[in-house]
Amino acid sequence: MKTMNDVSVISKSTVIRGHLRGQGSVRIDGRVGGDVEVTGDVTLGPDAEVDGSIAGATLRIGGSVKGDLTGSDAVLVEASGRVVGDLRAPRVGIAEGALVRGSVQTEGVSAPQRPAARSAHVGSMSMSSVRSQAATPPPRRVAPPPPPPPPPPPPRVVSEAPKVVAKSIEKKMSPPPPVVSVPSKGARGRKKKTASR
Amino acid sequence: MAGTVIGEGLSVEGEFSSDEEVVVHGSVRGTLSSGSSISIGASGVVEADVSARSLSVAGQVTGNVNSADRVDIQAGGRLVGDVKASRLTIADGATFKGNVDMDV
Repeated sequence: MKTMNDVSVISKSTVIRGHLRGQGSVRIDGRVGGDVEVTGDVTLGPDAEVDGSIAGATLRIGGSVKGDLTGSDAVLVEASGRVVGDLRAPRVGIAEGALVRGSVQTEGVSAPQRPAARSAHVGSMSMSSVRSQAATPPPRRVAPPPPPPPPPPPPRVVSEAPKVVAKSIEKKMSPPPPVVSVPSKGARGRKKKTASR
Repeated sequence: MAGTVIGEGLSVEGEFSSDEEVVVHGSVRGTLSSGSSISIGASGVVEADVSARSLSVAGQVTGNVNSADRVDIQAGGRLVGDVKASRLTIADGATFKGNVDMDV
């Protein structure tokens, strides 16, 4: 028979869809889809996944939790821990690298005042940083102002004027001359020059 | 070291499944299944259908048992339910009530 019958272990390949309740301590390396409520300590290994709230004396969270954590003694979120839920205990510790989204409340008289206050401060600090990262939506992309209409290229304006001239000539003259490409400005200028000479 | 241990005083309600060895000293209500062996300690109380490769009962089990390999009811153990297993042993002093299907 075992000497420590009140220590429970939920191993890596174990999946529980339901509640865990009772006395003693639990170490969870597997998955629990339900609440965990024990009188002793709860330890979550790095591969553990709990989809429900956890209550116990000291909670050491190395895995991921979607639910509230309530410790009558302490809640310690380790570096590998990920928590979406509220943390509540006389002592709350959040290690660097841990991810927490939720509110943190340190309360109770059983814990010494100073460490509680300090851990609460640390907790709320990392909380706010995590939260601001998670909650702030990505900056909305500002639509670029519509590009200004391109100014009409000068050669086109120039070419329009001679067209009108050509049209008026067309109307007066009969028979109409064969349609020829409008001479460019340079060509006209050269012609005039030669004509004046 | 056993894979999963439900300690004395702890109770599980719901579906319980594992690929490793499971030892129950506490209580389980719902369903209990393992690809490996399950043993119910003397203080263990199981009110669930149990499915395992092998099952050893020293505590109390109420529910149907399905085992690919064997079921052993030890002295002091109590099993109420139907048993489907290729091998079954009932120790002297064990309590058992139910049907047995041994895949003849």
